Amino acid sequence: MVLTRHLFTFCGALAALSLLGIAALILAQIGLRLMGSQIPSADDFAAWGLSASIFLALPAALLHGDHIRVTSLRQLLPARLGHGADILAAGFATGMMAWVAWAIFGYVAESWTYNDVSQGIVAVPLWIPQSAMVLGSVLFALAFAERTLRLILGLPVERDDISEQARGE
Amino acid sequence: MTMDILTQSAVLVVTLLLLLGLGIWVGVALLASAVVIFVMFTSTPVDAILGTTMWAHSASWTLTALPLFIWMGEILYRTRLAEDLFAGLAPWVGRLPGGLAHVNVAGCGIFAAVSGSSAATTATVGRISLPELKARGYADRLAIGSLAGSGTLGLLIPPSVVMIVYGVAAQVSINRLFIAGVVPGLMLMALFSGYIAIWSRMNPDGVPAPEDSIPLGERLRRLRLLLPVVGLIIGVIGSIYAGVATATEAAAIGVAGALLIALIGGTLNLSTFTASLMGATRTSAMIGLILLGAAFLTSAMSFSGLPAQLAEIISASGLGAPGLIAVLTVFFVLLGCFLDGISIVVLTTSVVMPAIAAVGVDPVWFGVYLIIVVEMAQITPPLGFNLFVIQNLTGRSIFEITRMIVPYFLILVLAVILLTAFPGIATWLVEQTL
Repeated sequence: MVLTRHLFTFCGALAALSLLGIAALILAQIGLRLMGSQIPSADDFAAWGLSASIFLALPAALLHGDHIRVTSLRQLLPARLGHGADILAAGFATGMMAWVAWAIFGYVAESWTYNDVSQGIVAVPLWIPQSAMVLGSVLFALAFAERTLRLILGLPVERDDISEQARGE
Repeated sequence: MTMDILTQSAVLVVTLLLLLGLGIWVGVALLASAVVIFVMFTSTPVDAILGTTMWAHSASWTLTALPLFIWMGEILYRTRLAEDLFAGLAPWVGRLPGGLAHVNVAGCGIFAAVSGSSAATTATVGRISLPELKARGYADRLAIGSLAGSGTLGLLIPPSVVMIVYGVAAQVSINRLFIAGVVPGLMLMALFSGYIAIWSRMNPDGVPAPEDSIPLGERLRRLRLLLPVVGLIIGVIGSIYAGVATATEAAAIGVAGALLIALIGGTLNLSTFTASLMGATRTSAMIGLILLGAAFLTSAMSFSGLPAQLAEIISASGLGAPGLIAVLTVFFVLLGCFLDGISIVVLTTSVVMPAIAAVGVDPVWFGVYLIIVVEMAQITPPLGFNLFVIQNLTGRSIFEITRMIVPYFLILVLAVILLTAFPGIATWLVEQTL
């Protein structure tokens, strides 16, 4: 289990690097435009970076308790029933995200088979930027599976801090 | 037809309530509800649509503004900006009725112009202002209430994370939304400050005697502390208003400016840089999941036709725009009791957007309206993120804080009424600039 935590954190770091890359790319684009030049397909690269950043950070966000869920009903339940509800929720999410990962894999595999390329100035095979979605969604399903297992075994699942969750609001 | 829409609405509401009530993560619940709608009411191959939707809505140039603005706020949260805001503003408002409580309003208003989040605005300004006000003997009701009220400006005054979410989900220009939020934001600041002044006149015990007036020279010197933040506002918002930058480019400029402020202020090091970047990445992933879930639900809805039928029913009912807004406001405030702001916004855009268009409501105006209503949800229990932030800052119970907030909640209601009566408050500046 320690291994998966390192994996999720590593993936989160890749997501952060991707965000850093987006910022650098857009700033470089602004600078170059002032000098009358431009980076070809910069908008495409930034958009792909965002897709990678979102998907690769999904497991790390789960680990930190960042993903929003409605806990008001859950808090009304007695401890044992509440624990049962947690297991049910994590189990449901595992199934749902496993299907999402499978469907995304199918979509990207198709894009690889038909050799779809991007529409911009630089024609890149789309399966390359899309593969971050596959990696992120597979690990996200895995993170939910691990969470379900840990809940069943009675192990801690995340760092709970409600003020951390509020940052996006 | 009517039977079908009834069944479909019932299935959607029951599925969503069941999943959310169970404590399923909002984004996952949205994805699952979309699957239910696809399977029960359409004959579309659902997994093919999922892949397309995930890619189209995650690899989005417009959406890149979102993580960048969040990152900018994370960097500024770790600087000395809040201290400087307090020191620079305090001598100017100290002798007004209500005294330094106005620092909450002005400080939140200024910080909101560089931050996209109302929780971050409340936390950053409150971290400094609450202890300072308490030490000087201001009543908690005044200090906490005005902070909670003004913190909501974080979403209304651009940049705004929730406005980006709305703009992306409803396909409304983010630049237009940003411009539309300015006048309502200033109006709310005036209303809050006005209320503080009146309350202080009526409750002299709650406000300490004004401090000795600070000479003009010293006041002006302190004002220099505000220069970095004013420069940042001009760089970010100015470039959007001048029409030279898209929201994404303005956000990248903002990140660079925030890093510069942190560097000059001496708070930039490897650990604050990494913490801000990782925090922003995870928050964006959290919002991204909800947005992707909502995009999939919207797609399910467009195949099943529920929103279009709902729009027909509403426009045939003769409810009209003001009636619809009144009904929606009550509905949103109730929804806000158990859903967060971003989820409310994406559910709205998935289901009621066509109805909004059908009764002739301007989507930019509706965005501003929606933000104010979401702000009301942010400060109402049991699920109000700004309440949690203030609870963390003060250690007071949610119940006590809620009582202190009531007048400021009513001011937000007043703002919605004014905005509905005079739509120009939101749309006038947009028409002038774009």
